[in-house]
Amino acid sequence: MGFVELIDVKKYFGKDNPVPAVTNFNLSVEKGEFVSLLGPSGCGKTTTLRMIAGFETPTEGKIIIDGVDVTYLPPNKRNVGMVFQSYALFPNMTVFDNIAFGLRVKKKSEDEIKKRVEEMLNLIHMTEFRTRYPHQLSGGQQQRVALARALAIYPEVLLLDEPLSALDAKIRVELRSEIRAIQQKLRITTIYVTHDQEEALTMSDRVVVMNKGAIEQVGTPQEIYNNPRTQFVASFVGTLNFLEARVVEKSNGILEVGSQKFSIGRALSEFASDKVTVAIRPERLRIVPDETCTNSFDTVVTRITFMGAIVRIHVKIGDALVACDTFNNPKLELPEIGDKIRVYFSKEDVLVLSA
Amino acid sequence: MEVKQANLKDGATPRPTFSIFRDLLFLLPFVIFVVAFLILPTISIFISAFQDPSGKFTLQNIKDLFTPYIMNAYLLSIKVSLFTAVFGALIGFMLAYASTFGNLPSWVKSYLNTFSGVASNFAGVPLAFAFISTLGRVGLLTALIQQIFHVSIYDLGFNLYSFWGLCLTYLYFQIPLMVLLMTPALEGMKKEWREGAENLGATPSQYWLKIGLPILFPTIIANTVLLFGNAFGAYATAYALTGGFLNLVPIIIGAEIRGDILHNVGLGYALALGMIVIMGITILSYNYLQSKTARWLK
Amino acid sequence: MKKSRFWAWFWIFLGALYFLLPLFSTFLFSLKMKKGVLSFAAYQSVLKDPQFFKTFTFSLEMSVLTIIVGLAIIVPTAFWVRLRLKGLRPIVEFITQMPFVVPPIVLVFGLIRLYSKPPVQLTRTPLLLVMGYVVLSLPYIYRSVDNGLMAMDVERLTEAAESLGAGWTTILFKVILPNLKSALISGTFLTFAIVIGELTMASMLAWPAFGPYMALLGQNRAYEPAALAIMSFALTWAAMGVIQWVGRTSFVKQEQVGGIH
Repeated sequence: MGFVELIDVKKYFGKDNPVPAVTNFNLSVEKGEFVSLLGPSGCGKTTTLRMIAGFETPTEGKIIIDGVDVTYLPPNKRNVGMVFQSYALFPNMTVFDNIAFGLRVKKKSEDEIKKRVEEMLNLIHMTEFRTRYPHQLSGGQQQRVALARALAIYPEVLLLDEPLSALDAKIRVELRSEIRAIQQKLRITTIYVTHDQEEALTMSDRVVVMNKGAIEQVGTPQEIYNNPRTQFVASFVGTLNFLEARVVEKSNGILEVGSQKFSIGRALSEFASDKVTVAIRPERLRIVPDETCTNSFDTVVTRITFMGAIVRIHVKIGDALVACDTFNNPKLELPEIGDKIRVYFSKEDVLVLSA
Repeated sequence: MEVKQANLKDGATPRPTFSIFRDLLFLLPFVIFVVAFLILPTISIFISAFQDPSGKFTLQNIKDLFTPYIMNAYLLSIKVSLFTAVFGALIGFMLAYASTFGNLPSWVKSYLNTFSGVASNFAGVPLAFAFISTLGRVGLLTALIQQIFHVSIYDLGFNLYSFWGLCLTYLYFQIPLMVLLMTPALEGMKKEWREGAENLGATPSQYWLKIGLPILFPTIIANTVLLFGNAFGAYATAYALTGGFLNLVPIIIGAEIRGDILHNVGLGYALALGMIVIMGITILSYNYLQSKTARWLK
Repeated sequence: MKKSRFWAWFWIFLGALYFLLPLFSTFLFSLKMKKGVLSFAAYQSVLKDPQFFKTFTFSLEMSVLTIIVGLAIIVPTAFWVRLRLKGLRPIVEFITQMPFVVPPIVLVFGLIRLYSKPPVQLTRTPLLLVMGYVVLSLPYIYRSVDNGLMAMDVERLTEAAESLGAGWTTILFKVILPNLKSALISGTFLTFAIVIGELTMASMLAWPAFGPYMALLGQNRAYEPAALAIMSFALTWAAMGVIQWVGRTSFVKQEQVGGIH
């Protein structure tokens, strides 16, 4: 049994005409694990987190933390730390007093409070800011204080609700690795809500992809990215090219796009129809072949987009448009619009989804 | 390369920027109006307060303020303003709090706010009439109490035309004003503060004691100060209610304008100057307190 | 939860009692002019009085003049300060707050001191009264207009209109004023509520306005003042109703804190 268990959790909003926000949610989080809830806005990820914190009560189901059923426990009786998107620092208190708040409420001795707060200030590298007020700090600093405040009470679980989405891009990336480093140092069980797939993939041990109140897929970042199990996951996480393909030989896994055949190297027994959708990531399509590339398409270049580290070449295969990414390399000669080029890929790179 | 000039004539010259002088010209009507009808009258009171009847400089008028009659007037004015400000703020806050956080149906709040808008502007002569019709010597409530309990509240020492009566009447616009001033501040309390506190183990009363009230405190005090000023400058309600018999500063100034009751015009101006000073302190402290919260909540 | 709701109802009930009791008993009182029966005799008596119409019309005229002069002075100022003279904003804001510091009774004292004798004698013309009223309503009109300007982001809007080829008159009449409509309406009705029953300035400057008329009636009659109080309350309610109604259809929260007491 996991450290945090959500069992058949359902949440409906509204009395007369209930709207489902979360349906049939089952999740088990191990002690010390970092799990992200990833999905578009309105998918129920924040509601799920708020149920774990105790701000919302599930309509059905159970929430168990460390073997204790906390489903109906009020938030101030649970020992979970929460970090909010809008920081929610108390504006009338200094950084020190904000971090000390939870300990003061728990009637800890002043010596103990001082020691713990200093420890937290060290952890977030903000010892010199202890007497500042929230309005004197930048957004990134405020969020670090909010993190320290949540951690100061020795919570069993740390909950973060889109903590970085109000921050600038650069600070977001910095804080991302800082949060992960702190989490690994303290080995604290963490549940992290985000709509940013990059955040979820870089930080988490496991990612839960949600859509319309339900779980689409649970897995490690690699599994989610490389083997998306549904079309939603495939399209939500990373960029994907989708191609309509016709099954030519089911047993050998030979498919056809336009009139160009390619092999996926395994049988397609699980698909009944002879039409399937195949997906392939832009970075798996190469304009220069390597030894793994077993397949190729003849294409025409339609557009070239310079994206910094990456150059995205849009090509046409028959009637279908696909993007292929290549690293920006000044020595590499890029094709021009209208050029006929060949793009290569290996059979492992092709994901077959039902049509 | 040849540069083609835009066809329009103005394209060849820089876009005309108004000089600061031209900009200020735009404000001229406002400046003239303010100087003529607000600043000069204020200055003239200031100057007259330091002049004797022949126009020579004197401090006698200011010294004359410190006589029992004048001091009592200031004291009474301050007492009425302070009392109605504190109780108006207290009751107004409770009403605003009840309607915002009391889990009441939402119509309560919208009715309360609409009514407060009306009541805070319903003042002066008609307000005095309403209280006379209710609690005056022949007022309806006075008569009703007499019928039920066979005793007149006037025999028990109540008098509408006294300090307490005036306070009761002033509260009719003070309380709604506090409701109007406080409701936006209460609505501005972020849900996350409460949730953050609860998450850290605080009970609702701990939240209010350590976070809610400290955040609201400067606003509450600022609004109380504003209520004080609001009552201190009031003339019409007091005049219509007491007929000018209650010895308040505005009432004495009014009587002085109608005829020289102080037998010293200069003293009248000194009295007015004293009002400006007290109101000035009031508004300055209001602004200071407001900016304090504004900085927090930036 | 239960407990907090009880106390909430308790305070609301207490407030309602305090506010509705005087209104109710004033209304009842106003119906008691004829002995033994309830009648609208007091209202009839008020409405039959030619002085009522004369003074009410005078105050109505004064409020219309106040609104016209006030808007004509304040709107361009607020606009220009937002647009080009941002540095002057604190000063202008301070000045618009000054009427709070100088109560009406003091202001009128100063006005009389200055303008009752040559070289500038204005006490014989209603101009001085109107100007005094503009000063009283200055903070409310300014705040109303300034909020409206801020909410519509007047700088960007003006730049956008300019880049689309609009001239200054087009900008003012087609872009700024239409978007300012609700702010102007609420400023107007707030001013109206302040001016219509105003006593202090009108009586000190000795004009036959509605406020002094009511005060005089209060000294001589018993039931008519109650009727007048009810009518005034209805009038205030109507003015505030317009402001609320305008506020609902607009993106700016309308000011309704006014009042000269």
